[in-house]
Amino acid sequence: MKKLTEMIKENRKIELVIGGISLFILLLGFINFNSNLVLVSPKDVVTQRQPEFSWSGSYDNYNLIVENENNPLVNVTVDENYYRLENQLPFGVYYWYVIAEEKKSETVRFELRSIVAIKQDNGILNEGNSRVKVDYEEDGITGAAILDVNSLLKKNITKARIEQDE
Amino acid sequence: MILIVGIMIFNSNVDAIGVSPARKTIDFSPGYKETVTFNVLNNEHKDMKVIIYVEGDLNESIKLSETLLEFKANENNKEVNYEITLPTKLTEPGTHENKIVVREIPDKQAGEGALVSASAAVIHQLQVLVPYPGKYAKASLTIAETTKGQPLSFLLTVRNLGTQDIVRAKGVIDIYGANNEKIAMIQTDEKGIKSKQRDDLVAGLDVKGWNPGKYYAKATIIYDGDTTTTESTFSLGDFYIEILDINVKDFKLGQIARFNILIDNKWGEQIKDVYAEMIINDKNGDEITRFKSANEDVNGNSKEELTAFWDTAGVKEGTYTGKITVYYQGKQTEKELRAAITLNAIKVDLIGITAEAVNLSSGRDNTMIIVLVVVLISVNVGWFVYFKRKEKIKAQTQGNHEQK
Repeated sequence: MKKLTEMIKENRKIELVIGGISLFILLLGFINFNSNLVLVSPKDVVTQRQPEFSWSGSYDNYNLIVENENNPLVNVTVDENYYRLENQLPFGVYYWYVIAEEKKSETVRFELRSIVAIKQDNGILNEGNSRVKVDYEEDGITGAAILDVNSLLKKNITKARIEQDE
Repeated sequence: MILIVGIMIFNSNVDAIGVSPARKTIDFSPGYKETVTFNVLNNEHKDMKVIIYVEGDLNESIKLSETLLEFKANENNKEVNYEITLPTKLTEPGTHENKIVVREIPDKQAGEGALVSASAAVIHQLQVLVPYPGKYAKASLTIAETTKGQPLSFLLTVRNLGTQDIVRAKGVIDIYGANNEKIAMIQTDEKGIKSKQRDDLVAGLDVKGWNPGKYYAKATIIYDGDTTTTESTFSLGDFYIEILDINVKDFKLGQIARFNILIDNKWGEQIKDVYAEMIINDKNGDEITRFKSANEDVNGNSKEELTAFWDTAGVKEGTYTGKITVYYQGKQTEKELRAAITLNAIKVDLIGITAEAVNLSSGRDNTMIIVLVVVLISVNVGWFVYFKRKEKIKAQTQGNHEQK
């Protein structure tokens, strides 16, 4: 009987140790997942000239870095999990990552791609993401204009050709 | 990848006929061959036909996969390929520009007196760069975005379009204020740049104590006894417009709704020609309408109300999602929105754009934690059952021994 009580005690000890280890692993996992820096967007191909960068993580401050092939074009410190660029990026390929408390996220590549697009709305409206050159005909007279993004060339145009200018 | 590109372009909210990318640049190399892909966009979502043809001095070297495309209203974009085979020799140095013209065929069904739209063509440019004899640099200036109060970083991207390597290239950047007075002069590092290659020359500028406002930077690149120039502008301070609130008063479903969009100019100076565009989507996320406000000038450090109108004829009660974008001097502020439309009111809530995306991600983390918890609980239960069973067997065995 005494032996049985000892065995039960022994088993309880083992259970306690296993429970403790489990809790420790759980705590470690929780800390690890919360401190994980996961980049959300942008990825792959974007057409927004001032893209918004977003990521997950639980830190007070983040250092966001966006690089071209060689150098950082963006290097800002923010206290949110997102940041929208104040300036337009040139078209091309970029790499970005985030640093928080000396922990660095993965690096993500994205391509900022140009669009030349128009809408005919009482003239020609530049609905693309770059400045365009418009060659047009109006009542048999030809002309040319430079249109910024979202600008309208208010003319009674019969024929037009639009291409990237910048 | 094609699907991703298609989705990204579709998500860019461009409501027009278009092409993307708008430009492809190739360095000349004798006999070089490449297949290039671009997308033709039908974001007006209409039935249309377009013809595609090539213009330029290399038109004989470009073979198109398609010369006629037919879009149905539900087709967003179509991919076009062309193969370029460069000749063995191009004598004229510089940029040889060729154009892939995508022209909409006008609708001939339009009757007399009907509004006939212009025959519009959008162009995909193919630029072939033929090196200049000797050394020839072309540069562009970008000012890196940094945290307020931190030194600015100037990047002079220099491309060597010559046949010879540049041994030493260096940039001198002059900074001018609003009244064209020279404020500072900085120098970049010095680098060699190989033929047909490009590199960045970098310089830093401490702007602590500088007044907020617009500045002009003029860069001169000095390379092996030759020079070239480029320029750019930059702003200091909070050049930013915040969207504070959207409300609709005295509304009745089926009538024209007046949206009052309250914005805040955080910049110290007046910003001209500010306007807002609202996009309303149905429950499937498909755009049902977009409308713009009139342009307004907004004084520095002050709030202003923009007004936009939406004809709600045919619109049903319900909750709609959408987006508001405020445009100002080449910049934009964007927010997602949710509009609850009832018979007598429209209530608009602004949503932080990234909030949902970030939540999605943390949701994934939580899922992993939950999985881990379930696994650990299962392991513990397993151990517990195992020990209990062992205990029981031992007790039984001991009991049997004692009986004997």
